[in-house]
Amino acid sequence: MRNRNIITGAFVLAGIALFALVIFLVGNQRKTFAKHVEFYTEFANIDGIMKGSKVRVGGFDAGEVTDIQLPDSPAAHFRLTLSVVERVHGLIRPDSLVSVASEGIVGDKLLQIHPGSANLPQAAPNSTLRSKEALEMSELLERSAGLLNDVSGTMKEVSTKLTGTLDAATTTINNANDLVVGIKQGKGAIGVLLRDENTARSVRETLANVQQATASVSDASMRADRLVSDFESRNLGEKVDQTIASAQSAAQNVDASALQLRQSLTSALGPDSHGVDAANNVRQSLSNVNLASSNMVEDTEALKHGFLFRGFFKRRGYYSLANLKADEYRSNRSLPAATNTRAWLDQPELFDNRPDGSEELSPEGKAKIDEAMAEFGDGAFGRAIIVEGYSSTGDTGAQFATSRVRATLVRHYLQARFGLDSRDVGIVPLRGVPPPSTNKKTWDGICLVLLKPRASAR
Amino acid sequence: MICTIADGGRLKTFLEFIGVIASFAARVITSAWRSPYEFEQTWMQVGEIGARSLPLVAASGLALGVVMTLHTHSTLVTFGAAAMIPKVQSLSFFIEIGPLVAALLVAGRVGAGIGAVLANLRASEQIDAIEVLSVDSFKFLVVPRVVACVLVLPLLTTFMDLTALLGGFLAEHALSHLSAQLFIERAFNGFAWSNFVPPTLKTTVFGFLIGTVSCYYGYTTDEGAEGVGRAATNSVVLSSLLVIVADVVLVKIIFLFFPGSAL
Repeated sequence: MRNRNIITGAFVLAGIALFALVIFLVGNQRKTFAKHVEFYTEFANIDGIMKGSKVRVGGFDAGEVTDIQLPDSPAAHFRLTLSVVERVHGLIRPDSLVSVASEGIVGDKLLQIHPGSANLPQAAPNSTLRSKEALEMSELLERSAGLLNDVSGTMKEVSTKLTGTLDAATTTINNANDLVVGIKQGKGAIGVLLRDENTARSVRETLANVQQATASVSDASMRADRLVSDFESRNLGEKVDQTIASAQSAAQNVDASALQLRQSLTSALGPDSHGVDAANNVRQSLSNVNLASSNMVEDTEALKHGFLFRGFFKRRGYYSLANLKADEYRSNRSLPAATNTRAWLDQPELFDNRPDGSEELSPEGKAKIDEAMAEFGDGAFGRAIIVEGYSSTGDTGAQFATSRVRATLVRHYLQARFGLDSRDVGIVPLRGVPPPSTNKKTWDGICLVLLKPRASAR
Repeated sequence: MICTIADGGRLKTFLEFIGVIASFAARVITSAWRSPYEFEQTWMQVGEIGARSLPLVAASGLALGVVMTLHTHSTLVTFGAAAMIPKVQSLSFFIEIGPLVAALLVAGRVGAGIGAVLANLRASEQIDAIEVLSVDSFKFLVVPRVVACVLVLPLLTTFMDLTALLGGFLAEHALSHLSAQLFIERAFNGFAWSNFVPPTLKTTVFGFLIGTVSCYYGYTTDEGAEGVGRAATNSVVLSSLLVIVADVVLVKIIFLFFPGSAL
């Protein structure tokens, strides 16, 4: 008995629960348990919409039609009450449009609310939304029938005109056929022309010539096209125009300048008040300048030895490093003095022989000179350096010449390499005999002498 | 009219039968509202009629759901309307097939049982014994059975609807791998209250008809053991017939009050 009651109770509870479940599913589908907002819209033709018909907002099932107020006159409209869930209220704006739609070809009719403009506020609840009347199928068919009638009339008209045109074309073709038959039979000038073999040969030759000429013209045309294309692609025409314009302008400027120059030259080169022309005047002036500068050198040299200035040069030890003489250098007390810094560089390290027998500084020799200058340190700059040239081969004249060449090569290198002033670098060819203060009997190569600061003071 | 002229005796008998069974039904209704109420007997009959019928109804619903989907699938796929299958399934079962088939199943199983039990009680004079005990045998035996039929048929109909939907889903899932959520969404898309509540509640009328007819045949039979079998048979035949005929009337009444339920 107890089990029977349990089974009965379970059955009843399960049945009630399933009934409630279906109620819930239907209610959920119809958004019954959600908050709703009501709107109104009006239609002249509701196209089968009834109470409970779906309302979609932007394609989303959002509610249903809850009431339909019938119009009281043909001029009035059906007034529909739409209940939509509050969640889609944000999509409905005052300019939202309501239209009747169909759920597929055989589906129910429903109302579609199109979302409005985003820049407008939400439509107020209980406001009336604009509607768009549905296009009935009968109206559509009526329009289609009218369109078909129009098309049919047009087709008939076209058919009539086409028939007339075809008749005219048939007549023309018949006439052309008669002409061709006559020509084929040799009637008329064209027929005779076509039947004559000589004429045909001439025509063939003419055609061959024409083809050849046409080919040539075509080839020339293609080249011209390419040329023109090339010009166009490079924009040469415009550039040439610009260049010519620039050249014209430049030529005009040159003409003007040349004219002015000619006038100036004419004026400048013309005879002066004494009747002597400019060239003779210039020549005479230059001669006078040479003479004056020679006198100036002698005067300057005389000044150096004058009692006013010679003290300075004697304290320095030399008058000029430009033309040191070997005997004077050896007898000088300060220049070859043992207190000066020396760098002895022998010949095999310094020079390479050219094919013509002359000498040039070797890379190793340049490196040796760099090392010597590096040993001199910062004191080498701004102080006088004397390059002593030595050569112990050959006779006295050859030794002198070779030692001078070596000293000259080294001086050029020092000036080029270290930017030394030419007044600070002197050379002296000493053949193969160093000054006595060096305690060397003979040498073959170069000796760099860095004068003491006192002696180099200018 | 021809029937009336040629066979006036049978017409009188038929009309008398209608009158007797109508008065029996009226007595059931009036007795149901008068105390004392036989709650215990009613509860027992709910278990007997409802719970015992559940396996039959559930199995039938499941099988019918599968068969229905198999048929509609092959047809609707031809038109590219396979998405309509859940909706077709739910609407057809909730509106008509579920209530009708549940009622016919209950009429077959319970109608025969009620008729046979009451006829047996009458034949064995147990009803007379109850009367001797100053107990209203009508209220004790008939009213609880009719009330139980009225109460359990909507529940059994709900079971039938949902098991049919389950069967439909299983078949559809096997055919097209449709998800359960989408099936339910499609099944109840466009579903109205009038598609579920009135058709389900109309089965209370079916239950009343089944219970009343079955109890009438069982309670009023007076033909001994032979009458037991006849009462069972007549109960099933007449109650099934009345269920189908009443369904026609009830559908029209539902359409009258709920126009939206008309498909």
